[in-house]
Amino acid sequence: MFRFGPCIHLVYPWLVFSLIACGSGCEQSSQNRDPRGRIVIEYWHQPMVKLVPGLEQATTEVGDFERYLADQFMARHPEVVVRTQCLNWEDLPRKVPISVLGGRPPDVLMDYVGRTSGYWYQGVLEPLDDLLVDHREDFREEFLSDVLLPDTRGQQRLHAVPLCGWVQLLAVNRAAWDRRGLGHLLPTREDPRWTFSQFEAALKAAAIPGKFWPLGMQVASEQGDYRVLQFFWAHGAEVYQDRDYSRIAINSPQGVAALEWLVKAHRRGWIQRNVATAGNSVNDMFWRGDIGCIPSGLSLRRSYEVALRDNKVTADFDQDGVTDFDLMFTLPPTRDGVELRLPYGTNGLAVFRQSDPEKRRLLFEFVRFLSRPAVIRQYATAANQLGSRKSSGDPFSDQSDVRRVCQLAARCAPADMGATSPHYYELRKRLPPQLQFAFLGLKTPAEALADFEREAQRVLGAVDEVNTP
Amino acid sequence: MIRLRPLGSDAGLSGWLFLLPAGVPFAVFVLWPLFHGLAISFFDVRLSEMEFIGLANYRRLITDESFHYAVWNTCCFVVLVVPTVWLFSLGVAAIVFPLGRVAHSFFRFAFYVPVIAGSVCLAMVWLWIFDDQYGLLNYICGDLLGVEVDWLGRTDTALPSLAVVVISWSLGQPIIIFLAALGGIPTQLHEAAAIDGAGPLRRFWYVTLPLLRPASLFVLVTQTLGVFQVFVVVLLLTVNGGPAHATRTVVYGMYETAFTPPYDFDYAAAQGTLLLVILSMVAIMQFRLLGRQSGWK
Repeated sequence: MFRFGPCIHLVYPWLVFSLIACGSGCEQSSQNRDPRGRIVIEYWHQPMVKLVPGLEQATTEVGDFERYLADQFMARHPEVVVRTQCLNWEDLPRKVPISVLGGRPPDVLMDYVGRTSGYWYQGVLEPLDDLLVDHREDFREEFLSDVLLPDTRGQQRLHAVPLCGWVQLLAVNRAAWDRRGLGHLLPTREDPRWTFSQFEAALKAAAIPGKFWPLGMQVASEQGDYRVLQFFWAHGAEVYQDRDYSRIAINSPQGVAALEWLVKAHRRGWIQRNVATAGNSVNDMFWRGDIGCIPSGLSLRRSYEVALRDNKVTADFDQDGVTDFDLMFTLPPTRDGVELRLPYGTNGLAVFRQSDPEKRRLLFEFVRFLSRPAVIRQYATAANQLGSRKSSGDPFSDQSDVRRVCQLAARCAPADMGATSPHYYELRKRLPPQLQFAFLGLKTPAEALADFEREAQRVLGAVDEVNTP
Repeated sequence: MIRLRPLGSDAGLSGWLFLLPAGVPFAVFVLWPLFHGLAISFFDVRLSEMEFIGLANYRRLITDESFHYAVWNTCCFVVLVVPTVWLFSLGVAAIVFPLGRVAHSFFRFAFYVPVIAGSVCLAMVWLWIFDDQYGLLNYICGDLLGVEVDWLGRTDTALPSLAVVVISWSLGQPIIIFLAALGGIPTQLHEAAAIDGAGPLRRFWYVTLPLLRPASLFVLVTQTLGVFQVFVVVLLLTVNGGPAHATRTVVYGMYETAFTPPYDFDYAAAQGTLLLVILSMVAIMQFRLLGRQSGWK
């Protein structure tokens, strides 16, 4: 009879050696240099742009533009290899922290500063102040204020270099009102401002119970929370008072009034039925003509072009078989006497901590290369966003209506969502469930906001407790 | 009781080596994460460093409203799903068993398909069925009853809707187990009971059901453990366990805590540890209650 015992004694040493060999292979690939001795730069980025003006043929997919830029940089620096990786929106908040925990983060990350700030507070990013020494004045203040964060000694440091960003406005499908003879209720493209009562009148006139909801809202998750917060700012409420991130200020009489207005608007059929569970499907409802307007950034125009190409735009209000869609941007309305404030969302470049000084120098060089005015202009134009540098020019030169609304928006103070505060995500995740309670009638607006404040203070208190020696 | 020989002897060494192919993966992928999870639940784990915080994470569990919802919802899931699956699969098996081999194969296949089909595909189908505007369910309800319900958008219907999905996914294995167990019951017992004047219902109640006790115990324990860990259906059919925490479960909460910003791995580990304790207690309780006289001790 064949005996397995002696054989298996031989198999195990082989297995152990194989595992060691695999392990050493992994170790080798995590080195800073490739087999030819070139420095390797791992560049991970958002799926932000494609079909970049002037490079349409070379940038048909997201990630192509970053590869194009990487090739240009490598041509200038033969001693460097840049490996780009385009992460989708779901992967960005998951893959990066896991890679940091695994000891293999990217070298450069282009992402929303609401996320990169989290890495800064975790102490895994390089401060980038040196990169802006010569041209700090060229960067727009509203973007810089988002990327300057305190270090462990309380000094303001640059945690990311801003590239471009969005400012939230109100996207309106004019056709929803025009086709029913209600166009006069909307502001014009020449003067895209309206009062709150004008806004309410437009919503009231256009609502069709169970079929058409003039205002789209998104409270299923923390994604898109700035959409609902816009109405808090419109009522004079603040999320944080005077950049004091140690306490939440939203549970105020103005905050309660804002949530009461939203809940009433929902009950009256002005806000879509599935508000408590609608995520990004709000945009699809907008294209289908189920919704008339949504708070949104200017990049929605690019999304509209993509939706149009994919035959997703099917709004047809007069049932004549012809698509009814006329996208315009307005300033969001505010209550009388309330100053309009608009949230900005900044995308920037962050560098993860480096032990090799030579590699750090080249990474800074790479970030400097990516944040040149010409590149920022390309990003801003392709994404229909605002460029972070004044010298990058006007990306909306061919869109007179957008230029007009941007000019007006530039006069408004930025709203503070606390996007770069130390506990931004911890707190923002707690607001949507409370809003859902209010929309579903399970709590009054006052109760919902009080509960949110209680939870928020508990988080802030618990964090303080942990951080206090 | 099986005893391993001491490591020193030749036969003992071979025995241990034969255990390694199963033992090493078990140690690496189950035991080590288990103890590591337990350990980090006492630390504040950041991306770059760790700090000992004692029981702070466990104290946080006491005051965390979303965790309370998760525990409550998970218990509701168990109460809704486990007895239904047990009852339904036992009923199907009892009806199908006398029908013969072809019927056995057909029903086994029919109920097992959801188990092997991709959960994402099934979730997409269920999403369409439950859609408030274009869904099959509202199409039928609207026509028959004149009522349209946002099944996944209301707190009173969202959890039962998900329970229906979980039940539909969970029936396959218990039906197969009960069919096999029914085949193991000696026919003489039924014949004797029939001679004594017992009708079909009394024979089922007094003969079949007691003899299915080991199978029932297995089904109840595995289903309870499985449903306590319900996750995919929440991830795929709801947005963040909403609306208003109505479908948030413990394992979904763990996932969200650990893998979405701000990546609270230590707090998720504390939730996992508590779940482990609860599951162990439930399993012990089930073994105590049903294990007697069934040989499963």
